[in-house]
Amino acid sequence: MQLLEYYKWQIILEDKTVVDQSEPGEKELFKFNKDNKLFGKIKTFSLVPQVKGLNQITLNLPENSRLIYFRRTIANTGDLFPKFQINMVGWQSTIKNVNFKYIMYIFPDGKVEIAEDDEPKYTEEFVSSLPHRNASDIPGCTGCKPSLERKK
Amino acid sequence: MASPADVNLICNYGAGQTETAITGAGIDFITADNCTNTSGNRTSNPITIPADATNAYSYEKWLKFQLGTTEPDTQVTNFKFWGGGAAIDSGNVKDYYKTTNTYVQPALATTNDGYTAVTAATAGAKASVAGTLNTSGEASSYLVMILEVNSLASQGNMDQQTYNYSYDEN
Repeated sequence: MQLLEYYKWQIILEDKTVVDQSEPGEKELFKFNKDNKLFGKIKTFSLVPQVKGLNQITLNLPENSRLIYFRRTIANTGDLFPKFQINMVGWQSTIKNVNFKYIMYIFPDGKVEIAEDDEPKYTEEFVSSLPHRNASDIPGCTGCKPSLERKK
Repeated sequence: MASPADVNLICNYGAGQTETAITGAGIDFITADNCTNTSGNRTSNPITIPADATNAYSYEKWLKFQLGTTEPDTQVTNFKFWGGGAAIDSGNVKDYYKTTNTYVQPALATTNDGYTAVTAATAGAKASVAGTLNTSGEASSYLVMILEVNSLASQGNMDQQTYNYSYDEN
């Protein structure tokens, strides 16, 4: 299981232009913010698997909605479990002054969760499934390990 | 998105805010202002267990998230921090945190006023650290941590604590 960069994105704009994610090491020209005039013209957003065992995920954006796309990195001091990323794909729209938001959280093992808040429930289960190092195996006495002594 | 952004966890110390990258490593809660992470450092600068009801404290540890060489395509934001949720040494040793925007030279803590127990920052209720980073060298707000020790604490080396963090990038 690849924990980072297991998907590449592909965008289809309203005029049917296809925009692919840049290659590793290259600067990405497509910005995911309002400064990019094309950001508001995204019709379809897809995550294309880069490893076997994952499925392509495609989001067709509703009219007058805006794409939400982030990659969430989760890590820890001491690297007790390996760093990994969750892909977050969805859309946001304001209808009659009410904000609607829909986000899919896509994990490295292919599981997809749709969460109402910002905390997908599957995260902890996924962390538990990762290989964990024994804290005593970490070189250099990493982590927060204070030494306490009695007053003499 | 070409490559994931290079986000480092940085420990800061001294009047001049000397920076030490501790990504994948750790910090020592000690009675000195440094960002060294060795057994010798902890042995040389131990926290003395108080004999009475007055708590003892470590020096403050000033941490921040900083963008390294590889910049994000657009931004890195939504920094979160949380612990394991369990008490240390039956609650006789407690770790605390607070967030702030402005650096002040770390000092030996004398109280936990203004701090929140790390046990309150859990996977389900993460603590937020402000910051939206775009270019190399930019950093988040500071996460300041201290350790509090009471008279019932066990002598010797404490178990290692693991702190988790996350950030969103696009």
